[in-house]
Amino acid sequence: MLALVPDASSARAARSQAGAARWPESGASEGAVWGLCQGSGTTPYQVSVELAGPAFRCTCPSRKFPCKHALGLLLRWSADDVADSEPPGWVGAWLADRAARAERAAKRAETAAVRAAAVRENVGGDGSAEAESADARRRRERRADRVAGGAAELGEWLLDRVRGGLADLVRDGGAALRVEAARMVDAQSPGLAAGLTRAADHVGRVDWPGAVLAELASLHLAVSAHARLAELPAPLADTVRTQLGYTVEASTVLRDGERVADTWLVLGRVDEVDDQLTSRRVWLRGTRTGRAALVLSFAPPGRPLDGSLVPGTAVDARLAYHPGALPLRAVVVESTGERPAPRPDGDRVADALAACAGAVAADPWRMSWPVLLAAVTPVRHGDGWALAEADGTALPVSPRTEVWPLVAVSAGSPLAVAGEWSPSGVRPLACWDGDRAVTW
Amino acid sequence: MTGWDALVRAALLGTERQEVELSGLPAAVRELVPAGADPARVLLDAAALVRGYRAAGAVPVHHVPAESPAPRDDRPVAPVLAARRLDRLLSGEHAGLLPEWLDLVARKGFRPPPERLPELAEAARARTALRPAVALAAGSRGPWLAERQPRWAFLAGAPTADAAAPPDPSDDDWRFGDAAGRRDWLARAHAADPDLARAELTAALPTEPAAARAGLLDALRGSLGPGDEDVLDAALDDRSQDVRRVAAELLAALPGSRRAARMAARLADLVTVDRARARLVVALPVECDAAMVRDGVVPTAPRGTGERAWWLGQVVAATPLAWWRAVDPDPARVLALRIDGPAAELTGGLARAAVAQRDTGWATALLVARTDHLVAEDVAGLVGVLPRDRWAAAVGERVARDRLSGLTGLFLSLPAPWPADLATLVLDQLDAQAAQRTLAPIADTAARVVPAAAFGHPLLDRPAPPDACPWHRRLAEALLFRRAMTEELS
Repeated sequence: MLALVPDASSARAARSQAGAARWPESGASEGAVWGLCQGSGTTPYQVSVELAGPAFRCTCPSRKFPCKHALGLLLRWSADDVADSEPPGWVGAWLADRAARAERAAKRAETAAVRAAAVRENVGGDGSAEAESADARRRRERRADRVAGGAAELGEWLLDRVRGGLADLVRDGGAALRVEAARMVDAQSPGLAAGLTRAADHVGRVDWPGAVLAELASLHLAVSAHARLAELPAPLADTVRTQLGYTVEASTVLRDGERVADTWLVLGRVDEVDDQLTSRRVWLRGTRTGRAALVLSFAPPGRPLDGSLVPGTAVDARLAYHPGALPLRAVVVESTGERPAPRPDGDRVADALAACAGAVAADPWRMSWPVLLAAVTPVRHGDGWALAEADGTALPVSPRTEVWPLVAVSAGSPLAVAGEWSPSGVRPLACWDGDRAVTW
Repeated sequence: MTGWDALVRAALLGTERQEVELSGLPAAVRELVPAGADPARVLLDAAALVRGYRAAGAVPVHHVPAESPAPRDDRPVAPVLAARRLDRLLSGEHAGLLPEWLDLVARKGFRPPPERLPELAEAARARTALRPAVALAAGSRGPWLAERQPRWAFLAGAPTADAAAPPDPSDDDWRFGDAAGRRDWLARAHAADPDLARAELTAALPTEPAAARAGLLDALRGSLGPGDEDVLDAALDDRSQDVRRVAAELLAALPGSRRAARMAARLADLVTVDRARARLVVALPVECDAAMVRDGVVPTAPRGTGERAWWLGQVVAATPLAWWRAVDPDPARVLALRIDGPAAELTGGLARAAVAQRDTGWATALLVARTDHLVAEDVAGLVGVLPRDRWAAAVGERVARDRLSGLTGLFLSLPAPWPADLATLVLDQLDAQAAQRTLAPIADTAARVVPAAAFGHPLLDRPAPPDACPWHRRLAEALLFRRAMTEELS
């Protein structure tokens, strides 16, 4: 532990801080140690150490890092002088914040990996799969072990939570979920971490218990499936691995992925911005094959996203699909120009829903799917809107969706509408005003 | 309680405290839940199944009532490039040019892409001046959208009643409308049937608050006639200063009114002609009595102006110009007389009279003879009285004589758009004095009011001189933007 010490005087100072009298309160969990240290002032310093990093935080003004209080705390902990307990709120919040940052870092790393792979593919590759080096195999196996360990642990943790009751989660605003998310990041399972973070984001909102239970059940399904990965059909096993957060390098997809050539109609795109990364998902539909595809791209905040697939256009392209029980995410292998797409043939509401059901049946974690409705009119439905066919059969529009541009184009007449379906409803992304593709 | 709610409840309380109840679940789900000794596992298995069951089993809503469609709009949608420019305008680039874009689109018989109507309506909600243009652009979709989004009620546009139909005082706009609606109704009624409108106005005035009274009187402005004098003269006794001001202002445009005659009588006491010495001898009013105040003379002079000279200016401005015929039928010869007295106030008063009475003869004579006594706003007003093809000549003389920067007030007050020859004249001057920082206000005005006919000016296409001020680049950019906007819609 003394390897962490900045200099010799700090080591002496740390020992001076390790006395029990200075620590009115302290505790440790599996991932962290914390305590209140009585310094020279009236308010004790709040000291916390995350063991995985390790990372340190202390409210003292010292500019040494780590400071003597943090080191003293670690000395006490290594001497077994700190009792196990639940982290208090100020520790939980810090850990949660670190978990969130770690998750974003993982997302960044994925982006970087995708980009690096794309560059390798474009610049050099002769396409031949190089034999995996012994080093790479060891890395892969080590990760598989960590993921398996993390998944198994999360499985037990979820069961414990359900035994004890989710009501406990609101007491700390979902911090326990964020702490667990951080542990999943450490276990190299960003997919599981993301699910826990989503659950944490639900806490405190209207109807949070149902939303949190749904997320936790989804995680439970993923870790249960992972426990018997070897028994699953290979595509489903790939889906489960994706769910846990394994990424497939673009080069692998380009090399091994299922290739589909078609004239792809760009149905719409959805951008999501968080403070570390903007992501774009573009929904495609093959005009001959009827296949659905999802092309993801990422960029740092403030930088432009890949703008090559413009909603309302048709593009001749070959796509390579990521592996999985429900081939959906795809990479563009090559494309030859795009042109405005005239009003496409679409589906009836019932058929579109059947396709959504098929997608969920193949991949129970998939909660969004592209739809292209042949002739619907946006109409008022309860407090919201619905897209209705002439006979009154309708799909509700997802709440908090910008629907007025679509309403203004339709003005009560039926249109072809493309959108993203999810269990909360359709989010319209494009429509056709005669043969003019319209986006907003 | 549905099966899912039972699961949520058990999860919330904890399976240690609450039994997991599966009986409420759909049979298809219940069959799939693996039996197990651990209730927590059973609960999570069941919840995962319900989640998938719900997602995959989404069913459509049935029997949704149909919408009544809006009437067809046969105007073609604006071309793609014009639509892209609208997006730029809506995103705030040259946002001040949005009215011009809407006007161009309307004149060329196009309509904006319908998907932009919500954004246009929101813009018009914030900038009320845009509302008529946006309502026009929305066409038959306007009333349809207004019915579904009360925030956009103004999209319903002008009342659907036939504009040619005789005004009907039982109209809801007049009986129950808001201030603006009543004002609009009265303006329309007054144009169609002045007697009826006046009768309604006279009946309504006593019960209206001051601001509404002023607004209603002002509604007569567009179709003012001698018959309106009685209402206006009576309004000179109104409690509200605002109402009295509007009444006096409108009466000033009625040279045959009793107020005009009273003002002429006041002026006659003050002005004498000394023909032998070709002089106009002007005395100053001794006091501003109650009768003058009633006729709209403002007693308190602005700082720097003598009180009595200030009163004189107002009396001159309110006197019919026909009164001066007794001095000389030719305004130019009146102005050629030397003045014994406050020349500036006299000339200013004459200019305001010429503007209020829209007298081109006097406006021309004043612009030729006396511009040095006139403030920029008065010159701009006089130019505005002239036919547009004479603006350039009238202003050009001053542009040639004075430094352009001294005419800022004039160019800021000239009504838009400028005629092409005037625009070219000003652009020439601006281009030649690109390093002159003080010309920024004129340049920024020109950027808006130069007409399309002047878009061929070399200033747009030549690189700016190296010492050019930032306004020069702004001007060229704005004009290029407007030129492209016009070309996209031609």
